[in-house]
Amino acid sequence: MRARACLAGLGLAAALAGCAQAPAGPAHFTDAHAQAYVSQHGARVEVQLPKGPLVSAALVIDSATATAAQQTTDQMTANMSGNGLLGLAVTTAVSAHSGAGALQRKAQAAADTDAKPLASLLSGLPMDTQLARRYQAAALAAGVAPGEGAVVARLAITPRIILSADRAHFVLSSDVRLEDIAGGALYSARVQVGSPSLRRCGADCIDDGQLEQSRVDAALDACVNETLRLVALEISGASAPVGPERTLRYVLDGQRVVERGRLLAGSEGYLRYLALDGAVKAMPVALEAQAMATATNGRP
Amino acid sequence: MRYRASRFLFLLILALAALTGCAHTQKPVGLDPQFWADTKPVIGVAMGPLPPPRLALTGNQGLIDLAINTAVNNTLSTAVAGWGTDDFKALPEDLAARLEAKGFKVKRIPEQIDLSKYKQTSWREGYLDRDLSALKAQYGIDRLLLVSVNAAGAYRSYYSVVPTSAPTPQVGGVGLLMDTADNHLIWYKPFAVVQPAQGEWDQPGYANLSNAWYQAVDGGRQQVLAPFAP
Repeated sequence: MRARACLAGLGLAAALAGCAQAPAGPAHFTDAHAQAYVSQHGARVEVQLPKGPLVSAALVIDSATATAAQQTTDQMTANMSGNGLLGLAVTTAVSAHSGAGALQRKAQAAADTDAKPLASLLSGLPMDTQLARRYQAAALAAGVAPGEGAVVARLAITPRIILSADRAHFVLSSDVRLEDIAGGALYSARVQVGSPSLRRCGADCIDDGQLEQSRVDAALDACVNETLRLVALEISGASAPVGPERTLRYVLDGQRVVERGRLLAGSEGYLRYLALDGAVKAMPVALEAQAMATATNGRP
Repeated sequence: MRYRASRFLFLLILALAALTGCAHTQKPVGLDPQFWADTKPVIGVAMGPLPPPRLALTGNQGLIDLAINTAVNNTLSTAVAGWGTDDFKALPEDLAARLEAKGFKVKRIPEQIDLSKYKQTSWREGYLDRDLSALKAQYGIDRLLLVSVNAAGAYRSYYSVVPTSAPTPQVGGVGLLMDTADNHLIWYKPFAVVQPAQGEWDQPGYANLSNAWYQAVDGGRQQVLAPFAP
């Protein structure tokens, strides 16, 4: 009986301990023949909506909340000390519902609520056809030749819209895969582009949080265009990382963002970088040091 | 009987006083605005040795539990050990640049100042409990601006073999500015940053967790840099 309980405890621990890792985004790679194939045969852009929700919001767990939750957990485990298997069972159950164990779930619930206004704004539109039209137009504008013959490359895109931590802008995350006629991968990446602000009156006033269809449309267009510009650059091989991995700091809509990554060449109004998780990112901002230098130089 | 109870109570109070009275904690000292008025003193800027990032498994664990948990977290421990600390290494240069911009004479101290290697002095509120006065003559400095990091990496708490928290990056230390003539503290700012991963922590390569580490380091940097903002 005791051995079986121990085994169950170990199994539970292994399940909780992170033996199974979360799924990664698509691998980031460009085949050397990608550009030649697209130039020769053209590419057909296909947009597929994600299996999950199209609109979500980034999880926000701040440092102070995490510390407080950890203290609750520590206090609870201290109280349970010396209670053997009973303590183990109680700690597991309580940890899942309070303290540090509940942090992620609470953040997820808050994110789901925050995503609702934007999700309901877009739910009235046929997003699959709208997004397909946007991506196709952006591909043309970015110089990706359209495919018309029997042999053609397939540019499959799965978009997701993720509201940022400040909820004032979103990130358009596109899983992009370029395939030849046989289904062989020529290019694969997750491309994430930050939108301009969704606020109606900028950063200098307090707005009511309502979203305007025209602002959301404009933001979406800007993100789709930048996504395809980046994809075209990547396929052509002109967007290689420059310099080593470093901590990138920038301010996006009043919110300071710190992310580790490698800068990419060829920025046009966007800060482009390769993040640690392999995602290719473009944000409509300048790096902190550059922004400071610009502000200083611009002073009278 | 009553006498014995009183004596026991007296001894208990004495023991408690002895046990609690030993630990002195220096309270944070804010930077006085007057500091900026006197730019004559030469300020040495230095960094303490940086502890390598490591994964700390905390909580109620027996020896066997700890062995199991250590084995389960082996890959994670290796990832944590590989996290960079270069952003901290750049801190003295950033501080020096800010002070120079305000008109101070600044000297970069090339050696790492390990506080534990300096002679301990009796504790006085508002004074460093280590004697660093030798640095005055050694480097020709009147004041020392030192950043000392004493905790780096991540923690994960356990009850036996059950994790009670996700791995969470943390960094802790202290930034201080002192008069090298008498070890008087002009500014003293302990910092501790706990930064959970945003999103899944257990992605392949621990991308979100690693990112949180660099965010924690940046949080620590900001706390040290803030009083010297341009």
